[in-house]
Amino acid sequence: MDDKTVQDIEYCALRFHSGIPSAVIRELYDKNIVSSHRDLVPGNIKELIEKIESDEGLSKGVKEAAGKLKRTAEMIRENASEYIKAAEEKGIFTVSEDDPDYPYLWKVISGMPKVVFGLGKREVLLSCHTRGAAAIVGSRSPGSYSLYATGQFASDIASLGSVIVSGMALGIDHKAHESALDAGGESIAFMPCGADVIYPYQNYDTYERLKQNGLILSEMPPGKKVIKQYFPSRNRLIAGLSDVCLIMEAGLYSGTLHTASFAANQGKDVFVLPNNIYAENCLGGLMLLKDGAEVLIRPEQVTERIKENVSYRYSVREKDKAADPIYEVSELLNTRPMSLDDLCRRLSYPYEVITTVLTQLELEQKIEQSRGKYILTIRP
Amino acid sequence: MSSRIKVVRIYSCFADGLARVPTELEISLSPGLPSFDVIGLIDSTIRESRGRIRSALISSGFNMPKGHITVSISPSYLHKGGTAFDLPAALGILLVSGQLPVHEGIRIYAEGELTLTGELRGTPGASLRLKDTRDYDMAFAPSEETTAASCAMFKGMLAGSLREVADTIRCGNYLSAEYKDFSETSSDEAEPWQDISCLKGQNKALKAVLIAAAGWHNILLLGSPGCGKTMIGKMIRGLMPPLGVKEAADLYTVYEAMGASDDLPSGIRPYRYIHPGISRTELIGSVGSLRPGEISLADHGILFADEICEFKSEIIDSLRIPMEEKKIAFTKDGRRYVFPSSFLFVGAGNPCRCGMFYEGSGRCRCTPAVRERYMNKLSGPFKDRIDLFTEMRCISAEELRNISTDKTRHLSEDYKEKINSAWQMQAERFNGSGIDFNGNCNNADAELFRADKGVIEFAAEVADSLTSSPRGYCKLLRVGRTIADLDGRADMRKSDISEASVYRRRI
Repeated sequence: MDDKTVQDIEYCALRFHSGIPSAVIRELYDKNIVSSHRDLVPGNIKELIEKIESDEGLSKGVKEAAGKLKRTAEMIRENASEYIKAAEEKGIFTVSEDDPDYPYLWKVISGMPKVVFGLGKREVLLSCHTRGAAAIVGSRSPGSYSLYATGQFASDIASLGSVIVSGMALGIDHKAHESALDAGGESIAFMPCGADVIYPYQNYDTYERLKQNGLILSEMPPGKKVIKQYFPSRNRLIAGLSDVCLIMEAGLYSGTLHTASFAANQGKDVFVLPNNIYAENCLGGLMLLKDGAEVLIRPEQVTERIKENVSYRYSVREKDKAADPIYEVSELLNTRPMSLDDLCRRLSYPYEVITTVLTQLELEQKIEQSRGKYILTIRP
Repeated sequence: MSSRIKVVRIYSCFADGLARVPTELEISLSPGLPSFDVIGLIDSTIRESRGRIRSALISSGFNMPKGHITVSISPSYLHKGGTAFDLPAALGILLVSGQLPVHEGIRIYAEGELTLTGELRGTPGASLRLKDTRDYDMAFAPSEETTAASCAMFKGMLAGSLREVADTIRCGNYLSAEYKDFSETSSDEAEPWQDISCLKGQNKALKAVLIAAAGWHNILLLGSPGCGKTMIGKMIRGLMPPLGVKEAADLYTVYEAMGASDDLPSGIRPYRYIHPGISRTELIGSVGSLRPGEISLADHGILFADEICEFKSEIIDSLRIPMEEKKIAFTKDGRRYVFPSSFLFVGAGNPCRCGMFYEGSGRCRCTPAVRERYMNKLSGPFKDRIDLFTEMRCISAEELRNISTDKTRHLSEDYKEKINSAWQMQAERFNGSGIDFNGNCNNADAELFRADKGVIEFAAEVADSLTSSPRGYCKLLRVGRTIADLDGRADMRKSDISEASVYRRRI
């Protein structure tokens, strides 16, 4: 195991067992006491405590945290080595903030974990970035209609290349994973426990399939058993990783509604399957519709929205190249599809420069022509 | 008995399609009951000539000799028609009956239709027949055929009536004149065409038009109804240098052969408009009557197919061979006839059934299946033969206002000069290789095109990843070469390939 992964796991152990709240961590970052999560490892605790104690401008909470760290240092070390051993045995890897495949969407939302544990095909994260992801969540005891719709939507969306993200619970989650994999697509399960723990155990087959062809992610260190209180936090990650969120069936006070509100707060589009108004188990979803969620009718609605999001990601990434015809052309195309003539009218470059840029971008498969106009592609 | 049969030979010519067949008329007179036969696989136009000849002879003050008159037109295995044999037959009768003195060993060429009063009339095909008539001692043609005579560089005498011809032979005051300078007979009064500046704001279409005119590249314009596609065909013609003397003469010959010389605006390149209702015969030409079709009439000019997607696919596909070969060949009665067809193809059409596909979203009501079926009218091999694809779109009034028109008033004139020099560069490049334009060059030779290794590799890369047809690479180089020519550059650059790629086939 490389140092990077070890550090990642050590950081997790520190976060998990030191009992330091997130607000303190944020303050440490703000005051430049730590520059990355790699400074928050057991080997660095002494130094860290010194720094905190020498700095007078820190709040009371941080001072308390130093004391906590002192007390828990030994426990953190023990647990860390345990986790490292478990991770090595089970083949668990870590995805951290400074990895190239760390979910792009998490970078723009606050409060996302700096390190997650993964098991399975790591490339799926890249697909999330290049082809987008849809969260499909719902009740653990769905009606047959919702279950059928879940299968349909999951396989339609997955077969177009987008990743299906869910929680591997019974019912809707299970169906979403299975249908995505059946359609030859990719799927990510976010576990409310360690990535190596199968929960619920009834989904053993799905877990194994995801390990082979999909990805299992978790914020929890390896071996951690399920903690009920952790479910909402897990739901937040599901929403965070996806471009859109599909609510297939949700009761009035359900975890699914949590996912929906997280998604809405993160600025994601929430689609809700219109369901039976007489079924108690569906009322939460129907209330979302009443509050203005989008009605889920066709899979194209979802795929179109994912496409838009993905193409936006690409343009944002290239923003560092100003006064460059390639940049300006992509920037213009980002606003809306344009024909060559439209581009000529808006840019002051000579005609042959624009045509050169367009061919270059086409060769790189960044743009393509549709309806006689150039558009940004959603392929990498 | 045999000594009493007299035979006289007169030479003439027959236009078989666009082939020139020198013919020999033998006129014999033998004693017997008066009769007049014309033989040699003739059709009724020639058979009827007996009435015209008899009447013309008498009204010109001659006699119709008594006895068996037989006119045999050889080669007699060819089907012949047309009325140009009237004058040679009439002259032969005058000579054989002794009404005109026979000069031994004098070869006389004659052609022309006779009226009942003995006047001479021109007939279609004269410009073809009158070619290569310099070997004859005397040559006569109707005076109506002045243009045809100068087109064919005829050396001989143009006469207005049978009487005039007969007098010339009798008195021996035959004076031949040289007819040439065909170009002078054509008027400079060209039809006014629209200045290219009206394409402002449609940079892509404008550049594509320039490239098409400069390198003789077939072009396909797809656009919404009313965006000015039809206008472009004429514009391309206006941008091209005028016809050379030889080209003009060739073209006149074709038009004259089918009796449509008036259709040909003199001096400028032909522009033939074909519409979806056209039949295959009209387009390609008729085997039966050996009549050239629109593709031959568009020789050295523009063949403009409007609403290309509304054509029947077999009609469009019949253009494939002529576009490739620059000629069209027919076989009739075991003989092969070749008509020229080196036209520049300009196609215009709508991108879908309702035509609004390129306009703002939601305006097109076609389903993808309908659209695909619509575009599939054009077969792959046909689209392969088109070098430039460009879309056009309606320019809104607001956008038009933003485009200043003052400076661009006579854009065509500037571009004409560029195109002219591009033509000269191509003439030097392909000197003597039988090719005259980049667009006709089927093997893109790197050395000939002056493309270095980097350019070739780039073109191969673009062709590999962005085009689907093996011809794609060649097309990129060809079009790229023309772009460099328009720029006046001897060497090609990568940017030429990049620009050429913009016009590649996407449908």
